[in-house]
Amino acid sequence: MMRFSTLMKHPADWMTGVDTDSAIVLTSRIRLARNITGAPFPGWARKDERIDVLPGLREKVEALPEMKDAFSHQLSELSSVQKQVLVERHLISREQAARSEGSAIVVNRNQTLSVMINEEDHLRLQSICSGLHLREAYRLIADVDKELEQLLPYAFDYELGYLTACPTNLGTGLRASAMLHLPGLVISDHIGQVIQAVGKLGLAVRGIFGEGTESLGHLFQVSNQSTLGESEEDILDRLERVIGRVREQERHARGKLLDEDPQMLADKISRAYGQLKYAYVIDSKEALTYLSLIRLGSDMGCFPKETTKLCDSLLMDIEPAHLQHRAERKLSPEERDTMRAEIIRSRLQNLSSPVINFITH
Amino acid sequence: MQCEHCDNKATVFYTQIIDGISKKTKLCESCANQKGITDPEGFLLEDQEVNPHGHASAPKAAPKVDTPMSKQANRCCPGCGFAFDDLKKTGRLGCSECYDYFREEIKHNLGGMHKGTTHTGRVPEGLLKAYEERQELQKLQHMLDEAVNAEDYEKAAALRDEISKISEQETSAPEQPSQP
Repeated sequence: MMRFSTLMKHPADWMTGVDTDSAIVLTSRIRLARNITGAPFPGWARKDERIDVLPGLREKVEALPEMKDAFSHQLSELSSVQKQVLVERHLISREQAARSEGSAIVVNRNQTLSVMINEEDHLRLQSICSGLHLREAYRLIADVDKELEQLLPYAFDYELGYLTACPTNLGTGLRASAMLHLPGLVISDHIGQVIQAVGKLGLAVRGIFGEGTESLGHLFQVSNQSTLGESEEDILDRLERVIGRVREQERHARGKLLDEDPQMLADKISRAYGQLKYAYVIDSKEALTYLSLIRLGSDMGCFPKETTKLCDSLLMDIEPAHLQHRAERKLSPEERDTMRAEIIRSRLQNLSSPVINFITH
Repeated sequence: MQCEHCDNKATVFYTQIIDGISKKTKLCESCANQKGITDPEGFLLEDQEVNPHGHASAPKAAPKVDTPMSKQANRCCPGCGFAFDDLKKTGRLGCSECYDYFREEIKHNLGGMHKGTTHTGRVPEGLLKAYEERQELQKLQHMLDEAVNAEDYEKAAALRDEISKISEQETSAPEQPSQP
C-alpha cells in the first residue's frame, strides 16, 4: 500500500501543470456521487452504521485494477495536518477532512483518481486531469463507476437517477469543474461581468477551494449546478463550451492589457518578482497574488516556460498544512509566513529577472 | 442530577419523540458519548435501548436536544426514520428510500435546482433493460392518450394491446430489479 510520505514526495502530473495548455485552465475535475441501497446516508447514519458499511465499500474500491497499490486510509488514521494536506491537494473535500471514524479515502498511485468513502454520500468518485480535458477526466471515472456498479447495489431511481444525500446532486450525480487562472480579467476589472454571465448559464464560479471560499491568486473554479434533467454529455458539453469562452476572454483581456497599458503590466510582474525574491515574511494571500503575476509573466514570455510549472508546485507547497507537514510540527501563523518566504526565495533562486519585451519605445 | 446509566453527574439532557410519545433522558458526558449523542457527525440521536432493531423498525423521529414535544404530524421514512422537516434543517435526506417515501414533496422542490425533473443520463447496466422498457411503455401510453383524444379508437385499441403485452412481460420481472 502507498504510504503518506510517498504520496507527498510524488505530486501528480496535474498538480505541477505538465499539460501544455494549462496556462489558463489548470485542471479539469469530475466528481460522481453514488450511494448504496439498504444503508442510511453517512450524514444521517449512526456512527456504528457508518463503521459497519465501510469495510464492504472499501474492499471493493481497493480491489479495482485502477487502485493497485493505492493510498488507502481511514480518516481516523490521519493526523489533522495530513488531512489538511489532502484537502490542499484536492484529493479529499473539506467536508471529509472533518470526519474521522467510519470514513476512508482511496487514492490511486498517480493521484488522478480518488474515492472518498462515507463523505456526504457513501461514495464520491473523483478524477482530475491537467488542462481543459473534462471528457478525458469523465472517461477515467466512468470506468471506475462501471466496475463498481457491478459489485455494489447502487441506489438508483428510474425517474430521479442516482440517489444522493443532497437533492442538488440527484440524477447524474455529476459535478464537473475546472480551475481557471484569470489575472487578465481581474486586472482589467472584467471579472465581475464574466462571473455574472457564467452564472446566468446555470454554472457556478467559486474560489479555489470550492463553496464559500475566497478567490486567491486570481484562481477560480467553474462548475455545473444542475445534475438532473441533462445527460452527462450535455453537462460536459455546456461546461466545456463556456470554459472555452472564458479562456478566450482571458486571452483577449491579456492582449488588451499588453496593448493599452504595457508599463502597468511590466510594473506588476516585475514588482511581484522582487517581492517574492526578497521577502522574509509573506502571508498566503500575498504570496498567491504575486505567484499569480509570475505565472502570468511566464505566459507572456517574461520568464522561461517552465516557470509556470514552478509556480503551480509552489502554489501547493506554500499552503499552511503543506508547510506544517514539512516542518513536522504545528506552526504559528508567523512561523508559517517566515517559512513560506524561505521556500519561495529558495525556489526562485535561479529565476532571473523578467525580460520585458512587450514595451515598444 | 444523576446519570441514568452510571453514578456520574448528568450533564446531557435530551428529549426524543417516538410515535408521538416523548421520552426524557439524563446522561453524563461519557455515557452520552458512548451512545453517540454528542457525536457532532451523527445526526441521528436515537436511543438504542428503546429501539434495538435500528432503522429497520417502526417510524420514529429524531429527538431534539432539550426541545420537548415538537411536531407529531411529521411523517417519517420507514427505511431510516428521517422526517421530511429534517430536510429543511440539514439539506440532506436520510437514505435512498426517503426518495420513494417523500417523492412528491421532493419533486416539488426540484424545479429551481435542476434543468429538469427526470433523469436523462446514464443508467447502471444491470437496470438498463428495465429502464428502456419503462421508457417505451411511457411513450406508448402517451401515444394512447393522443389517439383517444383524437378519437382514433382503432389505433388506441392496438396501442392498448401492445401496452398490456409489455406490462405482462414486466410483471414477471421485478419492477426495480435489485442489483448483485
